[in-house]
Amino acid sequence: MADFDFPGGIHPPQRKTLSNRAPLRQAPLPKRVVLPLTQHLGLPAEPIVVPGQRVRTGEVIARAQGMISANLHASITGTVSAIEEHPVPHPSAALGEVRALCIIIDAEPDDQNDWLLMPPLDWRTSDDETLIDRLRESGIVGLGGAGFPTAVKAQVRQRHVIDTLIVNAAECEPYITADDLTLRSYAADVLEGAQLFARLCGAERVLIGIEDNKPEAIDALSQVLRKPAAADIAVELKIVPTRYPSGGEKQLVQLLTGREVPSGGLPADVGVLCHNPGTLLAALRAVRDGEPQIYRIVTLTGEALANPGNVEARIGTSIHELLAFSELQPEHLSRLVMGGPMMGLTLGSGALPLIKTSNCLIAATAEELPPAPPEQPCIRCGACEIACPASLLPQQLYWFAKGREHDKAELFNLFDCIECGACAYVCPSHIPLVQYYRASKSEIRAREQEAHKAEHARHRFEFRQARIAREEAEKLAKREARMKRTPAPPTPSTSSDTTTAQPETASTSADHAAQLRKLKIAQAAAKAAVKKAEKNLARISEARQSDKTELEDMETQLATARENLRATEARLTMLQAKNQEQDQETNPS
Amino acid sequence: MLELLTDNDIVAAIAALLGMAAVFGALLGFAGQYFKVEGDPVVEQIDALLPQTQCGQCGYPGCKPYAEAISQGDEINKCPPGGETTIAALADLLGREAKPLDGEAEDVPKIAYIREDECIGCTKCIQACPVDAILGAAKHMHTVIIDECTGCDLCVEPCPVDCIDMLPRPEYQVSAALIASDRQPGRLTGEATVHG
Repeated sequence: MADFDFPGGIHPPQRKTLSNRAPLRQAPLPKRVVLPLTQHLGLPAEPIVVPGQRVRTGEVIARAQGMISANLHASITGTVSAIEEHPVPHPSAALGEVRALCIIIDAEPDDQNDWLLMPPLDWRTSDDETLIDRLRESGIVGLGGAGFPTAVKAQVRQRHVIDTLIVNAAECEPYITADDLTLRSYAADVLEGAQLFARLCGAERVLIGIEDNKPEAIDALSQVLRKPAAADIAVELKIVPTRYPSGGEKQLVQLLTGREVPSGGLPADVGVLCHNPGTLLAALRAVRDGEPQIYRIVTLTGEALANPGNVEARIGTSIHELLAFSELQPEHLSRLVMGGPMMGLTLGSGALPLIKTSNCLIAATAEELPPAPPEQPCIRCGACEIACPASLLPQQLYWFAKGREHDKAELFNLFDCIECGACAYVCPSHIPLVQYYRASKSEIRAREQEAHKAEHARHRFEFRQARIAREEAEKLAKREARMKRTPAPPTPSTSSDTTTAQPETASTSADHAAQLRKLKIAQAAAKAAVKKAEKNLARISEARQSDKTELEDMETQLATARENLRATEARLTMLQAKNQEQDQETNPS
Repeated sequence: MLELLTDNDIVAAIAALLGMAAVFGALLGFAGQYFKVEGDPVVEQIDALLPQTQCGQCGYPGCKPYAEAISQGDEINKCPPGGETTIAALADLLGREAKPLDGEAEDVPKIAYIREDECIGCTKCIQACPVDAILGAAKHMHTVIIDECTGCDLCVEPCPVDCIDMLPRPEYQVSAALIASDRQPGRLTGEATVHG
């Protein structure tokens, strides 16, 4: 049904019926929530509450800092009991507990409906500025997985021209049905959210990409679309065949529009913006109802749960509580996964909080997600190349990663790997390919960081050298000046340790002239260097995207250039004074 | 003159070659003067490969002087912080044979920490630091800006009360990520971190 196709892909068992039969439920209000300060990409938010303070549901408790960051709101009414390190879900959580700073709120037993809402806005009549401010204020982040702050994404117009907004409802990973249930329950709201975003980014059309294994959601969407509602921007429902990973951003763009996102680029580079239905719903609620992002729809599934399904749960609820609500049978549980079975995280314990980006919790039995069989040698069958949705050469990358030839792996576009796991899924030798790629990627990143650090240290070292040279030159100049003021003739012992003051001979005036010329050239060069450094700094600080360390390095370079200039100036004035002195000595006689 | 040239092939050929030699010689001489490169570009390239800890373990007062020495023909295996990777990169750049490291390589990158209650505020470490990473004033406590410290060791020696410790750099304790489709921790996880 789709007009275009993407390469590769696999068909893992769906297992979605486990959770998509029950209607959407409300999870009970938690007695205590743990809210990590980093639930998004970018810098952590900065707490603005203190322990002991009473907060109302929806109140801002931590403010975004920096360009890419998001506000955090209290998800229950209660008292802030602590701001401390607490285990959080993190990619490396399986290796041991990862702790991060969290705000912990204990609920008040009685008054749970004490909300602090923002005034409702009508998005059709408000201007873009107001809407983007509202999104920023509400702490909305992309609910699909990466948690990119939505307000930043909404400003895409500043850099790119967008013609198509894609609602990514493919939900291709097995088990997860959160988007499915979101669409079934709130189809009209999601579509209104899409209209809102289409207006913000200037898109001419909205495409909804949905896999054909979600007939109820498709029905709900087409019912809303059939109504002659005030759909200002054309909406098209595109049903795509069920295939993993059609919900990958780049894959879906290719599937729906036929445009390929360039290597290392973003969908915005080809005029497309993707949003998850959950994000659109949250954004609409933030604008229309003034509700910040304090709850989300999460799938609770897996065969170790007696009562699986989708729930609307407050952010910060403990995972234990949610699993208990779904009647977890602890004796059957072998593995707990946050996210999907292909790309999700294996959790070490259930004592972690639900965060904005957690779309699914799988409580799997041992039969369901068995431990992987032992790794065998690669037989070069090429099955991974057929499965790769990014048209990479997985086995080649595997050889490079294993042989630690990271620069070659980079040449083979390792960084275009979306880590979907399709290659590892089809591998007959059960090689955990993605694991190798991830290790290789992290090593390359570490190396890059190391190189940056070395560069930074070099600038600081150069600055120090320049400063010492300047101090030396100034000291020398001062000493010369002092000696000139005192009528006593310079003794050879004081002048012997300086480099420029040489014993007076017949050839000194010629020497001085040559030195003077040299110093003048040096001064001109230093002046040019200062100008260049100033220009570079101005350019960098204008391009707001550049990071802090780069700016700092530029500043150090500028300071170094200035030190150099001052040093040469000090030397120059000293020499000129000396020449004058000599002229006075020679001329009167 | 013209007749002599047209009649005598050999003379014409020699004259043409001489003329061309003169023209190109002048051109090259001009280019050599006009496009003269200040400094040695190889030194810059070598300097870029060195780890910039400015530790002086190579016997030179910083990475740039060592880079200059290498370009003059010094050995490429005198940089312990860079280790084998730096030697391999230098051998690659200069077309020389890679040699085993002269000295002992560090196992993990370290940085300096001052035990602050023992510091007497003598400023000796501040003067020794090649990257201005130590903060403090005379008779006041000093401290290391850990983000700027390169772990060069140079501040340890001058300290009169031995209150500086070299400890592993914090970010190196973080390890590789694991996702659900990954095998359980064990085999591969160490590999991503031991390096670097």
